[in-house]
Amino acid sequence: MLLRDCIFKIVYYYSSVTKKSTEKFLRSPVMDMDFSKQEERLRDEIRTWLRENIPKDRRPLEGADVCAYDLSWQRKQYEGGWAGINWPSEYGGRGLSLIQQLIWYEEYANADAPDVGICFVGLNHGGPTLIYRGDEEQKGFHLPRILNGESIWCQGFSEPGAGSDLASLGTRGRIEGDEIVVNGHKIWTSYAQYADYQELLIRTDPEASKHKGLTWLICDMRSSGITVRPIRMMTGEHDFCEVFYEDVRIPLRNVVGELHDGWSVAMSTLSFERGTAFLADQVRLARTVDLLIDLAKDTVGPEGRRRIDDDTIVQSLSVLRAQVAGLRAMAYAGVSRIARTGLPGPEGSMIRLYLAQILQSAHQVGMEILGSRMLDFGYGQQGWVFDYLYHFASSIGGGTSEIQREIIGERVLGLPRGR
Amino acid sequence: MDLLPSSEQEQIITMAMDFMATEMPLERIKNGQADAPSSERWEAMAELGWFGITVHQDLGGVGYGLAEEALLFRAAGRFLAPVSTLATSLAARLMVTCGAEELLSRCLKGEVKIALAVPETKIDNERGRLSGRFRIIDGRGADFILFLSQDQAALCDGSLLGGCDEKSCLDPSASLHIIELNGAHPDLVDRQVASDLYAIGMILVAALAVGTAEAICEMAVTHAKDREQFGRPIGVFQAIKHPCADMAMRNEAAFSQMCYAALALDSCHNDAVRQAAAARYLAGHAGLTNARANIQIHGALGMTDEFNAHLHLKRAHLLDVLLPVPKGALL
Repeated sequence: MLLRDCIFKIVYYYSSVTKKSTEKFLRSPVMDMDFSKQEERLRDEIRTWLRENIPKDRRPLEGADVCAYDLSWQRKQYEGGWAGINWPSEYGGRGLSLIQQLIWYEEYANADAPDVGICFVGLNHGGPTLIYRGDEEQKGFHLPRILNGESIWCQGFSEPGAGSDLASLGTRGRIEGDEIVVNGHKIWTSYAQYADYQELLIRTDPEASKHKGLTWLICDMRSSGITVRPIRMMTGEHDFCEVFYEDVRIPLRNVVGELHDGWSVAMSTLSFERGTAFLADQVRLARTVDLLIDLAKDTVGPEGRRRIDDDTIVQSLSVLRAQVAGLRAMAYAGVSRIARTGLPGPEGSMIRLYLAQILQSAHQVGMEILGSRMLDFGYGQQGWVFDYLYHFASSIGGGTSEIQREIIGERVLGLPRGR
Repeated sequence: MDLLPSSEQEQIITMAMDFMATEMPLERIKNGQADAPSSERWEAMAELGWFGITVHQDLGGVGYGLAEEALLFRAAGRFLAPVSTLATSLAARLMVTCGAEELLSRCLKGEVKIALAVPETKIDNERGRLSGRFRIIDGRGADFILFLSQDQAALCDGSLLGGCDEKSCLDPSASLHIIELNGAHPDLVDRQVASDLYAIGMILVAALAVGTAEAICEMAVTHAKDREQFGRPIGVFQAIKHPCADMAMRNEAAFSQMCYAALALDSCHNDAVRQAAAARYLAGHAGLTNARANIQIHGALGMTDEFNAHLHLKRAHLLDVLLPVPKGALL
């Protein structure tokens, strides 16, 4: 068979590319970097809306102010019809595709809109997990509240003794009538001090093997028996918390998925985190590299030259530009894959791993450009130094880079499991 | 927007892979013999449609886009296909823009083989004439030599190599000549299309590098599954598994970017050249980095001439100097 034997198909291919309207006649997807007319119209609409509605004042760092700020911005997006673009419309979403959600993220980052902040867990784990595994009552109650900025969610997975080995977690749930009584200790829970609900992973069957016998629960953070202790981070923020549970009673109807089947529910939560939650970050990162180039142009080094005239800085910035382009192409390929299969697969871990590497090297270059100016940092002071310190989290949170490599090695490449 | 190969493109990939596996298996490079394809094999490649894959059908080409061409070269990269395939495909485009129809038709029939010039310093091409010191890749039996920079694309007669001895090349699959030119006259020259042609060239070099980087990853993964130490396959150990995962990540980024850049260039997007440069950088880096890690994963076996790991390393170094990213192109 020769390449030219495919010519019939190719004529068909190019006619389909040039005439967008023939899309519906295609038997299979065609490689295409452009967005459809309808998608471009959506992009224009988003751009206009963002220009008119982005909060003018800067996002505060913590305290009650940050809650008020994040929630009112979320409510505004909801009222504008922009919350949950790819969520089902019966629960307050727009019922559009992941590609359309991606367009929102692109425009959102280009408009320098505020960080998603305390709404992250609800929008990116809790919500998607409920859509996929929740029952009608859970979806009907929680999804609209996540979208309209009424409720804040936090995550309760990690424990002092269960980090990368998440399935070894020891927080127990004892079933009593129609309730589960929880005792134990969770940690690294961002925004627990402000949250209304928590996605809580606990052990309900101590006899079963490690991965069996876990349950994924919706925990009301106002329940009695919960104590929250904020932990200060090296940036000065109090993002993280420890959460202690003493005879906390949670109704059985708050179980998501089946009782004792929490591991599979948690894995779908994490696949959303690895596969789609970081789409927004990759777009924002491209913007960060642009700002880094501006910083290098505006900063004069000790030899009296602009940092952008330094060959090593130029080389570092060029590499970052190439990597950011590659990351975007990878995200596009990832979105295309999810569009074909319906669910995020293990390939998302490659995006996650790459994102963490680039985020960290970009901020290292930022420190290099600043030179001695980087010393001018006080706890909680926002800017390049703050972000540099903060982004140590990118290779730890949501599964460490080592865990992402395990997933890639075993589930993408088919290497044998070591555990 | 969809950045994965379509089922039609998957067919092209399968077809190209089958062709390479039959016509140009890696075994052909063994015994330290540079790989100069016989005229029969060269004609078979032409017959496949290789050199005119993007040339319009009215001119005897296949009429595909750059994405399909990149997928073909990626398959070629896995088998360390001769650099002359790259030079010939690029030169065919130059023949189209220069209106050299007779030469083009011979080229598409597989009657013309073209070598690629690698400048040692910046190419001096004052008034269309070429001066400087060049390394010619795959010059053995070449009819023409392609000199490509961002501001000039030129094709010179292969007789420039007359009287010049062939040298041994780091990449044993390539033949190498070193020449000094002092105002040589090209047979075909074009300044208008040079920057476009250079960008296309960067994508095709990227494609060759992606192919080799992917072949390396598969080689490492296969070894990690088969080789046992401490009573277990070494792929169980994170010190082996994680470098393999890093290879896969680099390949995914480089391959996705290659597709994106090819589509961007074909549809004349305004940042297409930067996208091509990004693809060139990422793929080149993936090729080299994977090749080095692969030798470590194979241990002493990786150091031998008998095992293929070194061929990929040496190829990655050869690709590294072909049509490199121009300084500042990414900023």
